[in-house]
Amino acid sequence: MALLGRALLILGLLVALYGIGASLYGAIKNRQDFVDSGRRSVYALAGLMTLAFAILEWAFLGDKFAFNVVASHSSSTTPTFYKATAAWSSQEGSLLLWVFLLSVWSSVILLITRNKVKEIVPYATAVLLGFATFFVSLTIFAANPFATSANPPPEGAGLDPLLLHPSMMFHPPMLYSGYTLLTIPFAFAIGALITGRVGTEWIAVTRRFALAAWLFLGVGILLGARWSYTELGWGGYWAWDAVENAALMPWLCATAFIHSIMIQEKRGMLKVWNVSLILGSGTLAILGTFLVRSGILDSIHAFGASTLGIPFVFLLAVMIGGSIALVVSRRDRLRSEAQIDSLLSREAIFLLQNLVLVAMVFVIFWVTFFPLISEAVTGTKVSVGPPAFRPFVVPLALMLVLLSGIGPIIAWRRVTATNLKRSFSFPIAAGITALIALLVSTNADTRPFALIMFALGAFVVATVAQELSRGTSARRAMTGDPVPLAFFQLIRRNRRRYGGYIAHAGLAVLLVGVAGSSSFQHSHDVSLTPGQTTSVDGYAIRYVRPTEHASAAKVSFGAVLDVSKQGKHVTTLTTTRRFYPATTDPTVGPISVAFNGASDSQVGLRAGITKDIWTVINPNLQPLQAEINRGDQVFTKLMTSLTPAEARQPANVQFISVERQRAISGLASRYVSHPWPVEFLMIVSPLVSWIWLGAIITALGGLIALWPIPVLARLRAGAPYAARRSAAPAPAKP
Amino acid sequence: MRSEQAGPETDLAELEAERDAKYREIRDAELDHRTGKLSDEDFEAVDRTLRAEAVEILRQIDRYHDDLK
Repeated sequence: MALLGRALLILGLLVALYGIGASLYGAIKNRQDFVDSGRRSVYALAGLMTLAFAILEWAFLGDKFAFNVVASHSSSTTPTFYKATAAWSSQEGSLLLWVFLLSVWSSVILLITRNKVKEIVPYATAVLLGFATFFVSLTIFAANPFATSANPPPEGAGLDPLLLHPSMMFHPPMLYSGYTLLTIPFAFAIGALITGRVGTEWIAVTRRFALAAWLFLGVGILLGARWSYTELGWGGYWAWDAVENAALMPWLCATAFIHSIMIQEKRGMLKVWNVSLILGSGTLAILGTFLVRSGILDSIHAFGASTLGIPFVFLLAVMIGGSIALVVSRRDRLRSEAQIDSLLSREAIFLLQNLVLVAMVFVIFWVTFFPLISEAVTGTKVSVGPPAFRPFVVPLALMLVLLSGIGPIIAWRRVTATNLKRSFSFPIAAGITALIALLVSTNADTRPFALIMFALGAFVVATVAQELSRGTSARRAMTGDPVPLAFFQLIRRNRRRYGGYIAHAGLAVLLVGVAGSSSFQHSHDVSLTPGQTTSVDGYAIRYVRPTEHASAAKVSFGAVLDVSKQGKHVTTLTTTRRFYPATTDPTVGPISVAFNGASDSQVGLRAGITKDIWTVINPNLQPLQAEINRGDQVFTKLMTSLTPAEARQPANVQFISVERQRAISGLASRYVSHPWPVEFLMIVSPLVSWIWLGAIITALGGLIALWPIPVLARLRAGAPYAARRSAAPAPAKP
Repeated sequence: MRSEQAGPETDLAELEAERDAKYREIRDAELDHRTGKLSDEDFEAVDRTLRAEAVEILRQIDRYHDDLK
């Protein structure tokens, strides 16, 4: 099967190369048959990559440890769900996932456009197959997912315990879906530039893919944040880690793009800006993949330095150089057809919002890559952390939220002073009311940026509520529908508009959560013995009792904590630190091996709408060390006292295994019977739940905006006679 | 509105994409008016402009079909 998998990859490479040639030949010679053949090669590639990925999944699910990636990233004791998702925990598997997703999305767009944008499609096909060629080549020559071992181990090394978390298993496919979906509008932009067809049509056919990319990337980013918060044991959800930033940058760029293309669709403006944005987004998506794959920047996510860096640098150079050359060569055709009528217009607000988003991308890019640049220039690699980002990102985020509130309540093309007053009164009042309420009832004034974000958040939510209310009223006035039906039909018939508004509200809620949790967090590092109590933000937290559990798979030490406030019980938290065996290190003693491998934390978390109470234990194993060392000596002496033949006898193997496990269990039980002081990190953090809630609302808004118009409605809108009757469609209901 | 003359099939598709976008703009302007973002006066001016632009696009589509005949 490994051979079949590799054969599929090689065949995929040949198919991709053929497809590039056929598409380009068809375009240059105006041969539709070759163009169609190029398109079909994408379908064929999707089929081949699906089969290849299925083989990899089969290997993981079937514990085929002859496959190197399975042996190094799975084990027979790994739960089935994690076996299925472990395929992309490896470099090799994740590259195969990348090209699999690319081939699937490419097939979808080429199926949709088989009778559209016919001049652009061949070049877009060639670009997409170019990406596929690159990634398939990596899987063949540099990171083969089907590499096998002649002497497979009897058992696999298992999945990194940090990845045994549902969020972390969905995080890569979401991110890669986002990255690969961004290649679609990228490829069509290249095709549009080559052919000079830089009008509305290429945007119309790829807009949904850009929006889907934005949605998937956003979900992937938030899943990563959730994993960080609940699994990594540092109490935070965003560390401005290089790989986190690598996903955020294309998302910000895509956010700018999905807004500014509306201006091009409506006014024929910002053509240069739009192609530059999508070319930038696609390039940043590849850059993001490069940062994870190459390990070039220090990151807890990175897979470590690899040989993939140079090919990626080459690809990025081609993308950047080619994009700039094309935009410059087509600058005449990219001239705007109109100008912004008024600074008080939605076009102007969108443009300003775009500038803010691009500024954020620039800042994040510069600060993320600064260590590398510093090393190249001075020879010294410096590290940068969150404090380097905040002075720039916070003010830009505030501006972004403000503009996301203004945009929905300003009309396209123009707005008058009377209408400004009518549109802004309620949202401004809401913002000011929130500001005053917080000043009076909380200590929010000690964190001015957070206070401004809270007020702006109220402003944005109020604008969206106002828009939904006015739209529903307008619909009711026309149709007489009851409120719930009018509300539903309003959104259904104006998905792009109201989906966008809902996404704005979600983003505001999310950023309020970020501001609250990062500005007003109470954090406490403390050492406690059972029965002792500490205090965090008015909560009394008592260490009730220690817990332990020992098995062949892991040893865990934990604690049960009682949380109360003003004498009243609030919640009970449990937290554990789990230690996994260091099975791949032969120098570690037979007892030490149980404690010296990877470790992870199960946090104790009580999430609430106003506050999260979070804790993690970090038990010091030093008190056990003497016993562990003694155990190593005893068992090493026992094992070396046997001859090789005796050591292989099943009865001896069983005896040593049982006694060893009994010794480890005995050691672990001392943690409960003779507890010693252990370190806890305790955090009380307000509004963290608003981040996840805001993310859900944002994703819902994106999904609504993405949802296709029903076929019948599309047919009605396209009917030629309706246009001729009144020189424009009959007045539409909201 | 358009930087190129109508010609091959792709130009028709481009015109139709512009037409659909213009229809959306007209609907959006009506919704803006009904929800109070545009005054009656502003709406009339914007609507007149948009419908004129839509008519021009439809004329270009008609010219394209006439050229084909």
